[in-house]
Amino acid sequence: MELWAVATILLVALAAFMILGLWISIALLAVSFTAMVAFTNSPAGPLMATTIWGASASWSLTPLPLFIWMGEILFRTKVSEDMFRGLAPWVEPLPGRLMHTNVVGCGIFAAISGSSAATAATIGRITVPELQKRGYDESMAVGSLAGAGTLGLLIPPSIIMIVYGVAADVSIARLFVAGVLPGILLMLLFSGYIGIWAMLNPGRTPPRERVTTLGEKVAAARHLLPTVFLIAAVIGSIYAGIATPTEAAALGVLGALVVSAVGGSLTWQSFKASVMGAVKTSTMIAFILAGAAFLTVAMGFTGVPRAMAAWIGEQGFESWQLIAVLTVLFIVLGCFLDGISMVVLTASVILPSVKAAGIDLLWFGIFVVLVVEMAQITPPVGFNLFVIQGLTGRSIFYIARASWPFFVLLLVSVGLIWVFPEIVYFLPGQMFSK
Amino acid sequence: MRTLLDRFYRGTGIVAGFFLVMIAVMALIQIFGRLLGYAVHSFDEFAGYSMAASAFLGLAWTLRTNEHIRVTLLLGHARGGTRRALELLCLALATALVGFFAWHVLSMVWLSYTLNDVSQGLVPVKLWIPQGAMAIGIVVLLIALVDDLLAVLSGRPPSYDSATADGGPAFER
Repeated sequence: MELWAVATILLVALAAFMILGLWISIALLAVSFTAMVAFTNSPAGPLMATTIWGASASWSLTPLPLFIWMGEILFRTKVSEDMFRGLAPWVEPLPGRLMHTNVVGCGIFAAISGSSAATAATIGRITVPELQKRGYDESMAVGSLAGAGTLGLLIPPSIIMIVYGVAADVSIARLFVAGVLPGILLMLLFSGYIGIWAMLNPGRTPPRERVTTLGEKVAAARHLLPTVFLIAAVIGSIYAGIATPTEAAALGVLGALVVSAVGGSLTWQSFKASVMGAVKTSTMIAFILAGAAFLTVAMGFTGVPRAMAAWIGEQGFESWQLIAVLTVLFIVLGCFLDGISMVVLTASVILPSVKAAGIDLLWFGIFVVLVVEMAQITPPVGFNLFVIQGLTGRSIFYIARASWPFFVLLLVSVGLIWVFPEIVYFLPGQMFSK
Repeated sequence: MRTLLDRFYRGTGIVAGFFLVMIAVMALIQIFGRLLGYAVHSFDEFAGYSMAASAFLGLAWTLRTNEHIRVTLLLGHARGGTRRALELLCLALATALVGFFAWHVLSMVWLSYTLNDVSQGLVPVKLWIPQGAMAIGIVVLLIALVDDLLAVLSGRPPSYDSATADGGPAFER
């Protein structure tokens, strides 16, 4: 059979399994099984067992549950209140005032959390009621939270980068470090937009509550100390080359437990709840990765990704054309699929083509994270929308409309890292490599 | 029988939690061991085995607490009989596939056992032991799927429908 027919059949089968409502991990297993049985002569069963065992009993996966656990511990502390109190006096003089607590708060929390939804939930839990109370523009407050929450994916640690790193065989430590500058760039874009919006709409930001002295600002900043300490432990140890991502994650867990104990929120109950919360999420993701590992092998047997890569090579596409097409594809997919599924499907099917087009996989990883960030705020399926719906009671379509400018800014950042790839490469190039 | 099964799912979930904590403990021992000048052997390997044990033993409990993600485009809008038929189809497909998978994982473990396979590392580990944890996890998932399949067949809603998050929200995705 023609390979394009095989590809079409498998694509339709995958879409059917997913739309039917089969769990994503099992849908991946189902389409791989279909590919093996229908289009190859190799035994599906034994290959399935050994591939999944090899992919799961893996050292490179171990940062995943630990960073998830760290987030679960911090979610149960007073970190978000502390962050708001520490940041508010610093951002109040800026145009847009406390609206910036969303951007800066999410940016800082992203540096101790690996997920977008957790970042939006933790920061939003405090900024949504505080901004509402003071009469800030609701659409802008909600939109900036939804947009800035996605920084959780880009600023390390990042669950999605671990998933990409494992699936695409790219160094997780380098991915983490590569995400730092694009993350800061996005924070500047978001905050810049808020400032310009506030200057163009002068009546829609409440006046300053009171002028704080520098001394008061510095005193307020002490609330940020626990967070700074955690960032130093996690990112610092990776960047300095003294810890692997797993070890950095374990230090992060230890640090989060200390912060939680000092803050008085560490009890046997909250400890158990954090572990069990981490089990659920890490099991869910690990099983999807297991399905994706089998999908990669099964697709390899059918020869589809290889043929696709060869075809793309023959057409002589410019790499920017491929990136432009992929951006559109991911934006459409991102409306319906979650980020993890998008990343594993990319790694199983599209990666050979990306390599054939001469695109570096580290840069591509950051690109994928940025488009997955967009997927977090596009309806009808976007995890940040769900989280903020829970916080505000607004419909996801209202929140998506409010987040629209931030979606555009994410698109701008994709353009910027394309034109200036040093934004991605500079810090990894400076790393103390082992 | 009902409470016994529920405890069983939760119990394997707790064992999964134990292995998760073990990964952190081993990583910390490695860091502090290195700082104090001790070389810790085979950590990577044991952490990998703990990873697999944690991931697979948590499967059933994660299913029942509705944490395995799925596309709810159709399911979310279907009502009554249609909804039930869709749910049945999903559960039947999942049961068949996980059953097939469980069978081949069990054969793999049996093969490792009969051939007396050991790992490559400095500390040789009989491979059927860590692989066995994976097999148990898959079999428990299979039992949970059959459990829900029977529930939906007899007209009750599946367990994950009424799942109130046990232990608070799991947001980290």
